[in-house]
Amino acid sequence: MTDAEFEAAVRKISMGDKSGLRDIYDAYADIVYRIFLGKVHHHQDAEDLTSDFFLKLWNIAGRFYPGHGHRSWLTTIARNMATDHLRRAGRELPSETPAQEMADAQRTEDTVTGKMHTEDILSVLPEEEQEIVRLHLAAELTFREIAEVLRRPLGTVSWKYRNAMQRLKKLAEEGSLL
Amino acid sequence: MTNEEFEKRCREEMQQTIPDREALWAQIESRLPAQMPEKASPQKNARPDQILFRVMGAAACLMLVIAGVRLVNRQLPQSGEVSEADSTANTDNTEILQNDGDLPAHDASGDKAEENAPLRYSDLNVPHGNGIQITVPLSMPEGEYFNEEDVLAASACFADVRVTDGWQDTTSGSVHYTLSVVAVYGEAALPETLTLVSDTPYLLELSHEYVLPLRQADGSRAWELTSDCAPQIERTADDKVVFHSGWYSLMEDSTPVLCDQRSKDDYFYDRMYLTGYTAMEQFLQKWEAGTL
Repeated sequence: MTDAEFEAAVRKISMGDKSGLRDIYDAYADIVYRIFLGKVHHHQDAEDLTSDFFLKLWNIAGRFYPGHGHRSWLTTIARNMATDHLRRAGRELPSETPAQEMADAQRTEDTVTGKMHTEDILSVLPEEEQEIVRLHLAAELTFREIAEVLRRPLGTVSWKYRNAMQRLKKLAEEGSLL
Repeated sequence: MTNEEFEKRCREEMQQTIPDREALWAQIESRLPAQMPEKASPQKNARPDQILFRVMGAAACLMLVIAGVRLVNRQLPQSGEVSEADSTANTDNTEILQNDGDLPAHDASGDKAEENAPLRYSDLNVPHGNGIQITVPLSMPEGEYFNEEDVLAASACFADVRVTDGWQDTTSGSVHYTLSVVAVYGEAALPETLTLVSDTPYLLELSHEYVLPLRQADGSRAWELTSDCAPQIERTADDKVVFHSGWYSLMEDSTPVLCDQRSKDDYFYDRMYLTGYTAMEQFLQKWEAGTL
């Protein structure tokens, strides 16, 4: 979705037109879901948060300033909602849940089919590198957008990403996952 | 597997989709308010006398507000003491999220250097008094000059680093620096900790942060300064950079900085300038892209 298309959708929302929200949902629902999943590591929570996100967007869309990057704006909202959710839940780390058990079963099947389980090897990286990798690969943000969201210099973001990918590849090779 | 193929596989695995998008949308839609947002009552439906009263009432309110603002302004500190929150421009979308507790206010004080204010290096936000002690004096070889174009052409990367240690080899006179890498511009794969050996009399100082043009020494994997015949670009704690006038690409909108001459070989102390880190970052991004 271009900035112009997003601004048009926001204008529709401001007029009470639900099709504006639907347009943004069609473009970004999966990305928002991935951002939440990367933070809360729980599929149902991620879905619930995605639902809450679009409700929040309905209420605050009019506060978006045209001419500024909408993707980093949406990402910032999602990240902050995820942080609030984790704080309310009183946990910073994912706990064992039925979803986790299902993931374990899936992992066994995926080993047979050759999946790498990027999430597993990603978890050994420092928190900031994990987030940069997720924002670039899962949320499809550019390095510049990530730098804006994380308030870090662009050079730091791109360098940390390269370092992280090199380490991930090495871990995947050592684990014979490639 | 190449790096690109590995990245592609990671991307494919991480791009999960919502199990049932339509069901989730139906859930969202069901929670949206049934009514459209309220709109202002159109004036054309009011009687003329009602419109007149509304206008007079609005004007009276406006005059009260203006009077109130003037009264408050007389009680506030003068303009030079405006608080940091008041001085920031509210043009960034992140400011909008302030009430939600989402983000700190955007600091729009900007990267442009202070205007018309002669600065001294001692006034800058850098650690002071952290010079590396040397016993063997260092001097510049004859005939070496700084040239921006040559440095840009010869550098493999620019590394934003913090000096964590430094000592002089009294046999060779060279100074060995241990650097913690903060950021890298360019495709070079630098380790997080880097060792640099240099004979430059323009010493790096402990705990200071610099943006160094680097290249790999001929025939080895060791990194070295592309140019060590002038002071290196230094980053302050408040995101400015101090540089010498040889970096003419950074000179626009910069402010002179008065420095003490560090040694008889210091030919740049009266040619130092200050600009914003963002300006330098933009310059390095253009260098990376080959669009300088």
